[in-house]
Amino acid sequence: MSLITAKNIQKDYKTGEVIVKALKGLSFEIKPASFVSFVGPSGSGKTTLLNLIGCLDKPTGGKLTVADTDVLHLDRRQGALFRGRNIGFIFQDFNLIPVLTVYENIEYPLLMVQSVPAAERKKRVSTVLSSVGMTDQKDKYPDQISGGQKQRVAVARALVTNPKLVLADEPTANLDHKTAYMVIELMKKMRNEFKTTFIFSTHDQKIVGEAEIIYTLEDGELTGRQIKGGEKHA
Amino acid sequence: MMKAYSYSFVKNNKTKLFLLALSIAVYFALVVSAITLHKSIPQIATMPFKGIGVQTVVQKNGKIPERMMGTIFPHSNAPISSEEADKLKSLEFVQGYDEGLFLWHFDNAYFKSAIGIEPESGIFAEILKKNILHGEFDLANKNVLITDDFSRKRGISLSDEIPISGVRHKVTGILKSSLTGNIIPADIYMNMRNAVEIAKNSEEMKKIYRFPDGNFSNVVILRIDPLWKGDKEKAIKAIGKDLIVFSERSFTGKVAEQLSLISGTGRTIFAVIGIALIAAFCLMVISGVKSREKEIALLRMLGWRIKDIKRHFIAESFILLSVSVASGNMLAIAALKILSLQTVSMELPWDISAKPHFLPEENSIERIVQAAIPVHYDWLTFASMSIAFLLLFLAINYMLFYRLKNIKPFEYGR
Repeated sequence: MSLITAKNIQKDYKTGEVIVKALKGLSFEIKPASFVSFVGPSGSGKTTLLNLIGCLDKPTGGKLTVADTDVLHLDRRQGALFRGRNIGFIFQDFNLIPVLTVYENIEYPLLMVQSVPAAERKKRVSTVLSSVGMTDQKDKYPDQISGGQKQRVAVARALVTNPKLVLADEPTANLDHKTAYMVIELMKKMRNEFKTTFIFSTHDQKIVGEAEIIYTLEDGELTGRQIKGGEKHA
Repeated sequence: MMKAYSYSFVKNNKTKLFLLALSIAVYFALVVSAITLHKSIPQIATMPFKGIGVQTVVQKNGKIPERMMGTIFPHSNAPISSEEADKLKSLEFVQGYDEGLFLWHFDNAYFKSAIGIEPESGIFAEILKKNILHGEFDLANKNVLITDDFSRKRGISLSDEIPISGVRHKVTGILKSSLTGNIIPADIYMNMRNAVEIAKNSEEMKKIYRFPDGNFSNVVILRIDPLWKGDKEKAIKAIGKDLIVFSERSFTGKVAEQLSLISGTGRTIFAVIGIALIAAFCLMVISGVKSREKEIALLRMLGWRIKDIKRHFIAESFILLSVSVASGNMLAIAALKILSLQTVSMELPWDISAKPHFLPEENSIERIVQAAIPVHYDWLTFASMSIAFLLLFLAINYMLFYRLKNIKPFEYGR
């Protein structure tokens, strides 16, 4: 049973009189607890695809099912609810809330979106803090920790709501290589621990190799699929 | 936890928020004080009548005599007919009634003012009986009472006799001075029959008035039902076109002028300040949303709905406004306490302070009445203004949330 099923996904953007075809009929399936990477040069459509999977945008054509939900027909309110319950997000520039502590940054999705009671919140936040190794930093503010630590907090925040899927757009772009590997290893560990599917986009070839399934995008089309240790498919 | 988010926002904007809260509190206090003062104007305006214990004095415009000689009536004290007097007495809002005959007497000795009253009963008699300093209340025949000031000024003592219109009047009692609060003040008090006889013997008055048989008066004092809501001045003037009415309305304008907080200029200033405050509040809300645009976009991405965000911002505003309004209430209480220590001045019209203005040496009566501002903490005003302020600013807040709709959920690549 697939977590994500995409059939002939298209996305067009209109810029003045010009229509830009960002995605040109993508089809793929992603199973639960996968560790997937979309790679390709800038402008290949990776970010557009992540926005569609994350229900932040809607395809112009095709069919996209995420966690048994046809996301094409979700309205704004339904989309917000769906995201809150099923999807975690990690960003290139972390996007932690500067006025909240590490603990509060991880906690707030539980409070705002899922209205989890206090005792349960404490338990879940403590669990993910421990998993990402940031328990000792929980009372610090984002400007008091390093880039790698910020991304660890971001991973924890993405996981605290027990999502089925975590999306990460260029999660290691602002990190040095050593830290970048550490973050990717952490994400894999989290996948193993929580059985959450991780999908990340990158154009860093060194990081790509850490994924178990690699989709290659070029000019809005899927040009390759590689399973780690397996054959490359076009 | 969202409290932590709001608390952090407050910490980072504490000066702006403090100034805004303080401005709202001060404006609230000014508005409540102004309303309270406005409500107290009628009460302040009745203060001059407090001494005499009535709310309305009715006199009649008359003629000016050819000569100021012998006994005359002031021109604003023409005789009131018995028909007019009966009609005044039976007005539905009249709870108490008395009448007097006010006289000026000019002779070679010195000026005298006198008033004839019904000695058996009535408001005048009530006042005199309570204010005897020496002697007794005895107005039989030609007996008179005089004020303490008049006694000292003219060196008149108990049992002395005063000539008025060639008739000697015996002093049987000495009264406190200014006992009617300087309204219709007289030096000499006599019985009505005596005063009427003096008036009817006046050569100057016979030239200008035709006197009826029996007693008549030229000043009427009325105690009014405080709950009566109609226009009593209009009702009284309908009885006789020359009737003059003195009531709290005679002083309301002057009082309102002094309480300039609520005058025309004051209202304009209020309006301007109010608009400025609303504008400042709008800017604060807009900048509060703008400064957190990225965070709102992120929160929306994570699943927060527009209505959740609005609820959160409304809660923040509600807390700010509640603190402001609560502080405003306390400031209003303090301001009213200070105002209650102030006084307003009311100048009695010549017509009811009734000493001739052309005899300055006689016009030692103080025509300026000072009244403390009677401040009452009207809890209904406090409560209704608190609710009105909260609702107004929350409504403004809500209207400005159109900006929130424009903040789209954060997207990758944006």
